[in-house]
Amino acid sequence: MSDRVEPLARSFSRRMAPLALVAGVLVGAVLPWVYGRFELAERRGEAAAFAQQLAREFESLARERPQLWPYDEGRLQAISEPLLRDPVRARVRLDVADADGIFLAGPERTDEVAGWAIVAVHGRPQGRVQVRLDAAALRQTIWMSQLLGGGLGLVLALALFLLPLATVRRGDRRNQALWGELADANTQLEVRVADRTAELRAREVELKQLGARLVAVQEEERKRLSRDLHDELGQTLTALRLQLTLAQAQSPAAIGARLTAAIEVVDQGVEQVRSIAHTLRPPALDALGLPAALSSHARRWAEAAGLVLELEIEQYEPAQQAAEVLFRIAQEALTNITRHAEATGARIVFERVDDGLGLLVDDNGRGFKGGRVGGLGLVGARERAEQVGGYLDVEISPSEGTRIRVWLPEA
Amino acid sequence: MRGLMWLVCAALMAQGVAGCGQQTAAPAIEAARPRIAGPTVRVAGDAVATPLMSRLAAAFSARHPGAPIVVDAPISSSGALRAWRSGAIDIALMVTSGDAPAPEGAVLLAETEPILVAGPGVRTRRITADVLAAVLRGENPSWPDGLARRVLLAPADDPAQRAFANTSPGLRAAFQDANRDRRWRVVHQAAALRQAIAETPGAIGVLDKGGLSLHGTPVWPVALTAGRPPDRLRLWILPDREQRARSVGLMAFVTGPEGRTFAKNLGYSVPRVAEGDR
Repeated sequence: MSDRVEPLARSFSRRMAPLALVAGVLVGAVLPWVYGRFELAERRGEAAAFAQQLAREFESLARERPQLWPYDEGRLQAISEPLLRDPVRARVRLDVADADGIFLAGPERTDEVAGWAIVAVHGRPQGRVQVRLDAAALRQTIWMSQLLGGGLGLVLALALFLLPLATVRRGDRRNQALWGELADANTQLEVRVADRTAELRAREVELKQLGARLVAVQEEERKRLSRDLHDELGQTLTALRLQLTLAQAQSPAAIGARLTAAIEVVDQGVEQVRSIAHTLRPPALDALGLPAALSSHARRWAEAAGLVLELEIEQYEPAQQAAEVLFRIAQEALTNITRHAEATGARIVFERVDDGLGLLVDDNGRGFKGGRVGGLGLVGARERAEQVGGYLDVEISPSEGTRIRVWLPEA
Repeated sequence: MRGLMWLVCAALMAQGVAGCGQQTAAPAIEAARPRIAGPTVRVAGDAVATPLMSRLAAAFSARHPGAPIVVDAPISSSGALRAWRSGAIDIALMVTSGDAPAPEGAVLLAETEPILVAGPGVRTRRITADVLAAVLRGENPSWPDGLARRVLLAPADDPAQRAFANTSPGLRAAFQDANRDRRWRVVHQAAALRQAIAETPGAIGVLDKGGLSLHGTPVWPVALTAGRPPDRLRLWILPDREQRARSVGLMAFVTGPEGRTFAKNLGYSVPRVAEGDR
């Protein structure tokens, strides 16, 4: 039995033992005793009635031989024998006594006198007839009933005591088997979970690698677009401006004015191309590195947004990937300040910290609308940071503004 | 708690056991039997001895008139002994057979023997013990001429029937079984048994030879061939303890030469008077 069930079983046994004992005693001793009493009472009643019947029969003999009737064994037997042919009465013994109480029966007096009756003639007692039970048969009946009752009582007591215990033990064995099966199933499940977790982790690593690859590809694409815009479209627009300038110099005044307007449009186009190219991939990021690119972009942004800017840029050049991630995050943060913060000033801090690179962008605005931290831009920024093993935290305070912290590992 | 329960169980068991052996006392009888008064001498006893004693008492009274001598109807040897001890009778008549000892203080009156007799219609005059045993067991239901056999038995303790049955072990067992199983009609009184045998066609039974000759019952003796002869029946007489004159006179007559001659003439055997008989 298991350790948990053993004390319960012992406790149960202690409680059931008295009940089993009581039940056993009731069935084994009390019921046979009660039966014996009933049997004895019934036989006594029968014997008493038989004695009365015999006495009435003997009275005729007593009238005929008032002195010698108790001694006339032949006549007494002749009268009582037909009555004794009853199988029930065959179990009794008869005694006949004269008026002085002298019996004619044998010397045995150990049997119980169950019934007696006076033999009277004209109202005068002439003797007595006694009916004795066959004690041996009666004792045998009672002992058999007690033996049977005792056996039944013992069986009942044992059943009451052992059966529930056996049921508990059987239940416990079944329980343990079920727990064993459950443990096996649990082990198998854990193995499967571990396998699936390893698989998921592998997928996650793969996903991160793809994400990093995507970012790198994206940056490359931006770089290429920026280069193509600047080198090709910008050059084309510059050449067009030159042609228009030459044409203006050679054209009449009316056409010259239109050409002048055209030249202004071309100038706007060139400026737009330059701005787009810069946004896609700031040249300073590749040419001068992160500190310069960050400062340049921030100043241009502050000028365009009309905000006060504070810069604390450490002159340290991180690896290309980290530089790109930090620059894009700063870019996104400044865009959010413009859209949501309603700030008047902003601060950008870049420094090496905790064996990594730290970037802080905060403002004095009112935080995000509704307190929501996120938006697709910051979600993307967090993913970029985590893809390279870093993290991004956002603190919002309606009174103090928004603070974005980024940390990337050095390597 | 457990100890108390054990105590209760033990008490119940003890009472259950004790309940088997209780005795119920019967009350004493209030009125006592009146004692025999007067000079009448009362004689009673076994049916085998009673007919002879009746004749002897009548002969004595005829020769010596005096107080009446009443010979009661038979009551059995053991009943006579008890009645004699209680004083209900003055003189008791008892019968023994075989090696049974003489009753203490008794005087040998006469001897007779048991005899097998047959009733009307029975032509058989000889029978073996084995055949008789088979008849008792009910295996031979008819006489050779087809007449149905009827066995009339005396009670199992009848001295004549018991003495006759002891001629062979098989016969003894057959008589015991017949009495126990009540296979045949049992007649408890000798006179009634004699009458029944005489009146029942095909009947056989055991009587005492002396009584047969005394009563002249129309029954026919059937000799038992093979086996040893049956034990003789000894008739005993217990004298009056009060030694009244009339009783003493009767005793002297029946045990003296005159009485023995009378008994012998009636067909009884009268042994010589020897030491221990008186």
